[in-house]
Amino acid sequence: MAADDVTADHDPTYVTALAAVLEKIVNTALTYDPATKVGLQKLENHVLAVQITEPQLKLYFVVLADQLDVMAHCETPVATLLQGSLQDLIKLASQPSTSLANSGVRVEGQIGLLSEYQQVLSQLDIDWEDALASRLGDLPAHQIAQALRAATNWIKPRSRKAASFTADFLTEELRVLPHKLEVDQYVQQVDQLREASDRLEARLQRLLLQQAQQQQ
Amino acid sequence: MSEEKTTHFGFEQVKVEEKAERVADVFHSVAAKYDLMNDLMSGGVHRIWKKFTIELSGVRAGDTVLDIAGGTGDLTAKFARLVGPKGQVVLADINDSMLKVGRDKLTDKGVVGNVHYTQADAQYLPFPDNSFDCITIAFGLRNVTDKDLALKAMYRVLKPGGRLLVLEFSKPQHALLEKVYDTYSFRILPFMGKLVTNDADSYRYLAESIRMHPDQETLKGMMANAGFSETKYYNMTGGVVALHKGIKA
Repeated sequence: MAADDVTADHDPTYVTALAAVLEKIVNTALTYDPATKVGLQKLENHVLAVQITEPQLKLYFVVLADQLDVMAHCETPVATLLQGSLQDLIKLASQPSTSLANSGVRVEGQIGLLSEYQQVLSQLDIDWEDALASRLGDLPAHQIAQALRAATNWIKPRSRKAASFTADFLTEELRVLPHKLEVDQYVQQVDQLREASDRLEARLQRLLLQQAQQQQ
Repeated sequence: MSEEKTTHFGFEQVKVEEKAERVADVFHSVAAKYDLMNDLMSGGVHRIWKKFTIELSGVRAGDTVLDIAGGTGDLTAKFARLVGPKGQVVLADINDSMLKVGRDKLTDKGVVGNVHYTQADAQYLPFPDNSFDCITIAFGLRNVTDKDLALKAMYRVLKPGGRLLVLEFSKPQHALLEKVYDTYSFRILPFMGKLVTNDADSYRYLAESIRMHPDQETLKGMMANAGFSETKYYNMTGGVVALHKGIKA
């Protein structure tokens, strides 16, 4: 998939500014979560493009040399394109699902990359205390971080329980959705099939070329 | 009777051989506070313009990059990360004061190993033909005495398929913006220069040199004349700055 070009008619200043701000926030946060930072390294050089349809905006994300780059323009071919309205994308990000059906979000390219991003980011664990301590001092940082931890500890299991109950009900009881493992296996098979068909196409092209050369 | 060749130094006409020296004086004077002034003058927007330049460069691991008029090394620092240990970035500047500030700044930030420093004139680049995958010149071309000669030199040292990116002040695309920009450049800018570096003249030169620099279409034509293909430009912040790109076929 070729990278889209920013057209010369559009002023890229604003989108680039947005990309710069996002890049700064994400990378600052990642300095306080070294485990996630290391996890992201396995996604290095794979470009994820996110195209928002309403409002129109396209940003590129790529892990490069120990940092997540957020860009308004990318010369490297895109591995995965995620397309949808801002509302649908936010919904998808806040309620990770194994299926994109009826989510309003469209995916092109390597779907596996998306689940890898999701997997790494689901383990995000920012050390707020460390982050706050460098700005506010140790004591206030400790108290704020403790309050944050208590709030998170209360919300996390409850939201997880609710989500897991809904997921179980839909996949096991009603059987209207496939299980996560089935979807993962399906995605893997699709990727394998795509790679095999790419190889077949390359082999056919080579045979056709050889045949043309022999005829000459 | 022999006629002496002249060129512009801001709005002033000076002898061709004098321009480089006069420009050098300006940059010797502002080198120490160059980064601070850039942030103040542009409200930090110069970082956005440079970020887009990096994105458009398509530089990847293992590439060789030449950052002409690299000054205090903003672009070089980013390129050094992208090219990695197998690549190389050459920071070239005609002005030794700027080069020293840039080298100290990058060394302090730990940007070392794949960065080299060269004091070089953009018109006579001291590199073999076909040496670089990408060349950038950010806010430097307008200070070069013979821009056509410099563009030809850049073309020579680029590898076939290599990209040249010229980031430079240009012509605002809206009349109202142009008016605001004029007031800012000729009234506020020299005042800020006086306040921060105690040197209003250098910043007056900066404003004047921007007005004397070729506009978007002219520079695009100059790049094509130097041999570049697929030349195009991106107006940024309403044309206050333009990023030109050309490929060596």
